[in-house]
Amino acid sequence: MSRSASLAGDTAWTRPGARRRGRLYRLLGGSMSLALGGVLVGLFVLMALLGPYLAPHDPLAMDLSARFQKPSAQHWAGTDQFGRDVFSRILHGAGTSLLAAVTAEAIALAAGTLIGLLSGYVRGRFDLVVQRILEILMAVPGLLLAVVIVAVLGPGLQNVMIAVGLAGIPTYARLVRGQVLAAAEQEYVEAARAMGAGSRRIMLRHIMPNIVAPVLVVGTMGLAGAIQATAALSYLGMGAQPPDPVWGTMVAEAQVFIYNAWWLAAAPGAAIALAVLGFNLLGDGLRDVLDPRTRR
Amino acid sequence: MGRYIAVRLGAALVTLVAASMLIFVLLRVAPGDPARLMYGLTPPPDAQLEEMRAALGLDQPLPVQYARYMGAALRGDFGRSYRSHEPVGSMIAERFPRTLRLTLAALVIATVVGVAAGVAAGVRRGSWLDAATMAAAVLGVSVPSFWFGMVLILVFAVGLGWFSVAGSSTWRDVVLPAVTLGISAAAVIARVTRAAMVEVLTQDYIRTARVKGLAERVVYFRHALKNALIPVVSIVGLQMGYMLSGAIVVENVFGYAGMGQLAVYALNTRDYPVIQAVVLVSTTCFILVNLAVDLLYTLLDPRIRYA
Repeated sequence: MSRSASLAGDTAWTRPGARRRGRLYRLLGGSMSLALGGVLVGLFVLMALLGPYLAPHDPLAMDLSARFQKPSAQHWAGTDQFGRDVFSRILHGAGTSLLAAVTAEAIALAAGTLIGLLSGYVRGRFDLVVQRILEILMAVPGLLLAVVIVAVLGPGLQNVMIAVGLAGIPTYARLVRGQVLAAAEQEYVEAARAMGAGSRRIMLRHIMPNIVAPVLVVGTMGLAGAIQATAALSYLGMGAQPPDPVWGTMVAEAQVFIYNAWWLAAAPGAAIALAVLGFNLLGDGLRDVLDPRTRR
Repeated sequence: MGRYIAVRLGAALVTLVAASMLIFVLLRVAPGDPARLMYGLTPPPDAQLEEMRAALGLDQPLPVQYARYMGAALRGDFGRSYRSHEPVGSMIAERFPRTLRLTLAALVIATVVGVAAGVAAGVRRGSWLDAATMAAAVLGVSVPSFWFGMVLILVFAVGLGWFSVAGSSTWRDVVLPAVTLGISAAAVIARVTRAAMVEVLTQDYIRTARVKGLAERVVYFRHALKNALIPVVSIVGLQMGYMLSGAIVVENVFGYAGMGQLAVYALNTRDYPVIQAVVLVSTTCFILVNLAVDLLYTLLDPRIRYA
């Protein structure tokens, strides 16, 4: 398990004199992933912000005379078992889905970065203890850890966010620690110290900016993972409860009707897949642009 | 080497003990009095409740409770279910082989598909095949498993009738869940294999092999793949851990009666002894797999010398 830490510390992010040639070219036209990912993420965010205003129908309004209608001009994604408009429900659910993922990711990122920074900079016994604790957390398979946390806190979307966030902390803590250890060896840190800069200043002003790139890449992909994890836990019935339109819950509700009304599951499932795909592509693209080592 | 194995074994054991403590303590602070939960919806008189607490050992300090629990667990006794009052050990014994079968099948599918796709893409770097494979890989990690599973059910079980819609008894019941569980791992393995292949193919010994006039096929499979597989081994081990997580979701999609399905059922009925046993068994598996991968790594890569 110590291998992953050394791998993380061994990247070329902090290597001096990294190749910068072609960065603009790749930023503008070279990276398909970045462009496509950006568009998908942009659409998702727009949907999350404007969804409720764009929705053609009330997501909770039942119309029992219009149950199980196939996708049509009036109902773009069909209607469900209560005659509710699926497309409107997806638009309304976008905000909740994004908010859940962002909250979970924010918990993991903030706590993980702080722990990693301290652990990598202070080192010594503190680092040793922190690493062992992280190892223990990582020994429990992620979703199972989240299940235990939901068992303790009780079901509900808020607790799902906390569970996914807590389960994600070790990833960032290890990444940041590795980066800090690598950065601390660099001459600019020595120079800053020689000029009399204090620990806090060195950490925040000198080391932090140099490890932003990998954290940004991993964080973008982490959002993809968070959307998936919160959706999966919602699917399993641990998150938002019906009738709230949340994508994962919608897929779960639709499963019973899959044989005669496939569109009920198709639409929210595709929405999750596209949102996750968007963040994955964006992360890939950012890495291509930011990591001087990857060449296509 | 012997010393390294001993150290790794010791570390794995320590991690396992610590993880079991964490799980134990977390589920002890979970809301609800276990003795009361044991009686279901009709709470008994206080005296009877006290008796049950004593019988369950809940009147003992936490460390004693933990030691008793683990001592019994090592003999396969995980207590009794709050709901069915069945021994949890036999519930696990019934379901663990199914989850193991599912996970191993998924791992085989993921490794075969992932390595094949990764080699094909890495060897023809920059070609349309490379682009298509990597696009498929991004798609593979992005599609939610519970949804992909439903699509497979619709197409292959309902549409074509090749497999059963749900079940967990025959090998045919394992195929669709295993594909569902393996797809994202296959994607990750393909990406790692491709990257490793690309890296290895730039090495001097590959050039030497080519200069010697060896056929490209021999260069790829004898010289390159052997070395490219080293990082792949560690990623395969990690994926096994994700699969133990993923099985929770996939088993519920297919109504596959494994440990994952049991875990969700137990969570919905607040059956803590069952949750605890499932998480403990899965974590033990994960730690053992990681240990095996670490040891395999030292055998595969002679450059690694551990002090």
